[in-house]
Amino acid sequence: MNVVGVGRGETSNVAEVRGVTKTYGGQTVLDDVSLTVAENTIHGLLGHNGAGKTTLMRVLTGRVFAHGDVRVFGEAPVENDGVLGRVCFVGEDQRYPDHYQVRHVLEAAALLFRTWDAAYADALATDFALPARRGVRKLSRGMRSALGIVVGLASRAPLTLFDEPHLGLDAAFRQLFHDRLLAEYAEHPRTILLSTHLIDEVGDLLERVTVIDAGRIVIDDDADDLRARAVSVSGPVAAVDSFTEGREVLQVERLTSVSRATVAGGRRPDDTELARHLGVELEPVSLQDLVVRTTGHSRRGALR
Amino acid sequence: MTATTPDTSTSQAAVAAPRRPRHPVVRVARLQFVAWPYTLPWPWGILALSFAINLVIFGSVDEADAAWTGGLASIYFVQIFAYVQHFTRGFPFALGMSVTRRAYYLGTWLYVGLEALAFGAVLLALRFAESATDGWGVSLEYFGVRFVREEGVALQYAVYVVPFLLIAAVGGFLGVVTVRWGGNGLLTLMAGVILTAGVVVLVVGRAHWWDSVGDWFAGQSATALFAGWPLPVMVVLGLLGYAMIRRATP
Repeated sequence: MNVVGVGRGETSNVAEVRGVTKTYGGQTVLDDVSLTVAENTIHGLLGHNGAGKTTLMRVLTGRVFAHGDVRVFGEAPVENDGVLGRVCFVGEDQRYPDHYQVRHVLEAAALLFRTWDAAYADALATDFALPARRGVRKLSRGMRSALGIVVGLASRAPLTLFDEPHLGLDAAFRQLFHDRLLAEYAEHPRTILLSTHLIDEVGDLLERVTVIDAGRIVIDDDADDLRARAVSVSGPVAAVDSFTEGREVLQVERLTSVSRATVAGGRRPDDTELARHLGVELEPVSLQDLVVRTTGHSRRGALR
Repeated sequence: MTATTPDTSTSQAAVAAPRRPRHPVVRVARLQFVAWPYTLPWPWGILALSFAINLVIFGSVDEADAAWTGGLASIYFVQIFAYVQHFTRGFPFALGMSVTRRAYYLGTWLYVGLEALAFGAVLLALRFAESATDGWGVSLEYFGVRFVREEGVALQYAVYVVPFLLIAAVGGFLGVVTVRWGGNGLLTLMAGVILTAGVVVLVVGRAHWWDSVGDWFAGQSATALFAGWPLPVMVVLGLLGYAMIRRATP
C-alpha cells in the first residue's frame, strides 16, 4: 500500500472498502471495489457519468447497503451514529423540506454536525451570495451546489465528501470554492473526498486520485506519481519518432509535419538532454488526458 | 488567513447558534422545530377559520337547542400532511445530513408526541373555556362536541391527544411506505386497503351484522373510541414503520 500524506505526521486510514459490490436491479454498479482513503488528504474520485462515483460515496456514508466490507473510522457506517456524526456527505441530489429557506438548512446543520462552525457558515454564505431567506426550492442549480459547499465546508467534519460540487457553478464560484477549500484544509486539516468530472480544474487540489470506470477502480495513485506516469512529446515527426523509439506510446496525434505523442513511463534521467538534442518539447500530461486515456474503452488499463 | 475563515474559538460566541442536544434522537426532535413558523400556523389557522365560520353561522341561527359541529376534526386532518411530509421530505433531508434512520424515526416520534401533548392541552383549555362561556355565548359545541366529551380532565385530555398520535401513525406509515417503495408502493398499499375494506363490508352485509356493529360503536365511551382502541393500531403501525424505514434508501 502506498503511504500518502508524507510530512503530515503519522497517517492512518479514515475509510476503507474491501471487495464491495453493489447491484441495482441486476446491473452491477460497483464491481468488487477496494479503496482506502487516508487521513487528512484531498482525495479525488474521478470517472465518467454513471461510473459508480456517487454509489461508492453513498456506500461509504451508509446511505445504501452493499455487499463487502466497509469501514469508516474503523466501523461499519450503516446506522452508526458515532461514525456518521464525524462524516458530512454533500450529495449532488440533496433534498430539502419544501418550506425550508437557506437559513433553515444552516440551522439544521448546526444542530446535526458536532463540529459545525456557524460564523464560518455565515461568512461562506455571504461569499457565495446565498440569501438567508431565500426558499431552497427557489435556488438555481448553481446556488444549490453553493449551499451544499457551505454545509460541507462549515461542517468541519473529519471526513467530508463532496459529490459533483461544481454542478451549475460559474467559473468565479468554482475558483472561490477551491480557494476556500484549500484555506480550510490548511487551517483545519481533514479528509476530503471529492468526486467530479472537471478533472483539470481540480487537478492541482488533489493529493490522491482514484479513477473509477464502469464500477471498477482503474487508477488509484498519488497525484504526483500519476502525472509522472506519462509524458507528452511534441515536435517534428522524425524527431518525435526517434525520441519514442523503444518506448510504449499511448497515443499519437499527427499534423502534416509535426506530431505529438504520449509516452508511458515518465521521464528518464537523460531525457531533457535528449529532447534538446532532438528539438522536441517535453510536457507533463494533464490529469484529464490520463483519465480519458485510461477509461477510454479501447485503451482500458493501458496505464496500469 | 482571510477574514471569511474566522478562528473557531471565537466563532461560537459570535453567532447565536441553536444549542445542540447530545443525544441524536433529541437532535432530530429539535430539527423538526427548526422551521416552525412555516409549519405550526397551518393546523391552528385552519382550525381558527373553521371555528370562526361556525361561530358566525350558529350565532346567526336562532335555535333553542345547543348547536354542534364536527369542525374540530379539521385540525386532525390538516396534521396528516405534516405527518406524511416528516418522512417524504424530512427523512431524505436528514439522511443526507448524517442522521441515522433509527435516530430520525425515534426523534420524529418524540417530536410528534410532544406536539400532540401541546396541541391537546390547547384544545383542552378551549373546551373548558367553551363550557365556562356557555358555548361562546351562542350555545355552540365546537371543542367539547358531544362525541368527544368526557367529564374527567385526564380522560378529556387523552381524547384530544391520542387521535393526533393515531393520525401520525397512519400518516407516518404512508410516508415510510413512500420513501421505502416509492409511489408504486403507496398505490399497492392503497389497493390492498380498498380490497380488504371491500371484503369486510361485503361479509358484514351478507351476515346482517351492521346492527351489531352500530350497537358496538354506540356502546363505546368517547375515551374508549378516541383514546383506547387507537392505541393498539398505533403501536402496530409504529413498529411496522420502524422495521421498514431501517432499510429505506431514498
